[in-house]
Amino acid sequence: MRNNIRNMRNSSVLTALFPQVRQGVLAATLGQPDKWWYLSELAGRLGTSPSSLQRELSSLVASGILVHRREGTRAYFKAETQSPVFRDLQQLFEKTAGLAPILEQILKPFGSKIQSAFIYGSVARSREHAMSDVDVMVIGRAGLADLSPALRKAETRLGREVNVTAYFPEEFREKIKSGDHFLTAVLRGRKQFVKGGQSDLDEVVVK
Amino acid sequence: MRALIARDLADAGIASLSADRRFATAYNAALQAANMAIACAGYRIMSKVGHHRVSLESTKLVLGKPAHKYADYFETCRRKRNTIDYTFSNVATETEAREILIKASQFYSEVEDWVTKNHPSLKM
Repeated sequence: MRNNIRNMRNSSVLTALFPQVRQGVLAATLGQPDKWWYLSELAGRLGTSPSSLQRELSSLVASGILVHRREGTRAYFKAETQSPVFRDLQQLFEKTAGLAPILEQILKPFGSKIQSAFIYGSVARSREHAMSDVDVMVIGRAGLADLSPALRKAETRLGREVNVTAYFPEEFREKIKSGDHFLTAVLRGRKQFVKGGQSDLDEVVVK
Repeated sequence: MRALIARDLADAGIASLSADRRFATAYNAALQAANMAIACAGYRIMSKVGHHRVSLESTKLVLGKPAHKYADYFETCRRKRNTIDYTFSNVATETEAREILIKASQFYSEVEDWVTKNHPSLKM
C-alpha cells in the first residue's frame, strides 16, 4: 500500500504541484471515480492513518473536487465527477500517476522481449466502473510466467486486477490473418499503449 | 494423485484440443501437484470458496522459495482458467497454453524432488 505514495514521489510533476498526502488522495479517487472510499480504506491504501487524511479531505470536499456522504458514523468520499475541473484533474493524474504510466514502468525492464503492449476493453474506452479489471495485451517473447511477478506489483499499486493476454508475434500475426474475431474487435477498439505505439503494433502485424 | 497429474499433463499436450481446454487441463495438473505437496506435509485444503488460491499460496510455505515464482504465475493462470471454465471461450492463446504445460511439468518435477528429499518414504 505504501507503494502508492512511493510512486507518487517519483512523479516530479505531481510533487511540484501537490503535497504528498493530497497526491495520494487524488490519485486514488480520480483513478476510480465511481468508487465511494471509506476513510480507513483510503488511509490503508495510502499507508497512512485516517486522522492524517482528515484535513486534506475536508479541503477537497470544500473545494468541490470530492463529495462525501455519511452512513451512520461512517464517512465515505468519492471524486465529484460533475466538477468543471474533474476531467482535467483526472487527465493530469492519468498522465503522471495513472494506469498507463504504472504499467509502462512495470513493463520497461522486459525491454525488447515485448514488442507491443496496450490496455484495451472498458478501461481503454474510459467506460470502466469502479471495480473494472484492467485488460492488457502483450505481444512479444515475454510469457505470463515472466510477467506475473511484475503484474502482482502493478495490482498492488493500482488496487485492481490486471489481466494479461500474451501472444508470441507469430501467433498474433497468424490470428490476425485468419480474421480471429476477438483480436479483430480488440484492434478496432480504443487502445492505450504502454509499450510502443500504433506503428510498432502495425509492424508486428505486417512483418 | 500422481496418476491424475500424469493424465492431465498428457491430455494438456493433445494438439487437437482447444488452447482453452489444454490450458485448463495443465492448470489442473499444477493445482493437484500443489495439493500433493500439501498432503505430503500433512495438510489438506478444504473445498471452500477460494480453495485454489489457498492451495497455490500454501505451496510457498510447504516448498519454500523455489515455489514463489510458480505461485505468482499459477495465480495469474487461476483467474484465466476461471474465465475459461465459467465465462468465455477463446480466452487462452496458443502461447499461453504451451507455456503452462511447460511450467506445470516443471512445477511437478520440483514437487517430486521435494518429496524425495523431505518424505523419502513417499517418493515415486
